[in-house]
Amino acid sequence: MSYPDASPQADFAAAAEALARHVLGALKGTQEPPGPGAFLAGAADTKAALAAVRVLGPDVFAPLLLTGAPFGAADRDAVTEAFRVFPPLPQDGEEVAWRDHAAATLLARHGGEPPGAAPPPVRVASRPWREGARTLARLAPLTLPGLPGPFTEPPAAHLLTACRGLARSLLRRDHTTAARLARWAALAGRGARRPLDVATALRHLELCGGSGARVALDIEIARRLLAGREGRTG
Amino acid sequence: MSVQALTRLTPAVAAERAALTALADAPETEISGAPVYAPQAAGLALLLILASPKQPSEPRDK
Repeated sequence: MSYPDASPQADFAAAAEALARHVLGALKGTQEPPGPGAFLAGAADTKAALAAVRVLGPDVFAPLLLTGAPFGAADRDAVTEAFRVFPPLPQDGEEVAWRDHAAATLLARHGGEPPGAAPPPVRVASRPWREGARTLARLAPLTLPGLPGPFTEPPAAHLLTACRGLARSLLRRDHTTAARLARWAALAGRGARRPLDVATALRHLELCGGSGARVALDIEIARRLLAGREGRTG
Repeated sequence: MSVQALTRLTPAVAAERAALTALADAPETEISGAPVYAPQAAGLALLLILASPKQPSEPRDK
C-alpha cells in the first residue's frame, strides 16, 4: 500500500529535472519550441511546472542568452505566472533574492514588469574561501551573459575562490556544487590563467556526475562559457 | 504589462514555498562522498586475525 507524499518537494524536484532537460535540449537545439511556455503547456502538474520555472530561475533564459533561441509571449507569460504563484518573499536569503532579481530583470527585457530595486551586493571577497565558494555555488545562475553582477568587484576577483571550491567539491564528490562552481570558474577566468583546468573538470563531471539533468545543464552552460573565453586555460 | 493570471492557481502556501526554497537554494552536501582513510579499520583487521581460532589439525590415523 502506498501513502501519498504530503510534501510537494518530490513533485517539484521531478518537475525541475524535467525543465532542466527541456532547457538543455533547447541549448543543444533539440527542443522545439525551446521556451518555458511549451514546457508549461505540456506539463501534467501545472503548479509543479511553475515551481520548476522558479527553481531554475534565470537559467530558463539560458537558451536565449547563449544561443539566441526565441523567447515569445507564451514564455514571458509562463515566467510571469511562476512569479505570481510563487512570489519572492522578504525573508529570502541574499542568494535567492539575487536570483529572483536576475530573473525579473530578464523578464522585464521581454515585456515583463520592471524589477524592483537590486538587493544589496553580496560580499564574497571578505569571507573565508569555503564560505565564499558556497555562496558562489548558490549564485551560479547569475553567470549568464548580460546579467547584473551581485558583487561590488568584477567576477575575476573570485576566480581563486571558485577554483578552490571546485577542487574541493570534486574531491568530496559533491557533483552538484562542483558543476555550479565550474560556471564561475569558466566566467571568472576569462582573460586570465586559471589555476585549474576547468575543461578537464567538466569532462570528469560529465563522466562521473550522475544522470541529473540539473547537473548536466550546469555542465553545458559552463562549457559554453568556457568556449567563449579570451584567455588561456592553465 | 499587467500581471495576468495564466492559470487559476492560487499563490503557493508555506509548505510549497519551503519546498521551492529547498530546491532552489540547495546547499552543498553535508557529508562528503569521498573515500576517507580509516586507521581504526587496520586495528580491527589485526584484532580479527589475532582472535581467530587455531587452525584445525589433521586427525591422526590409528
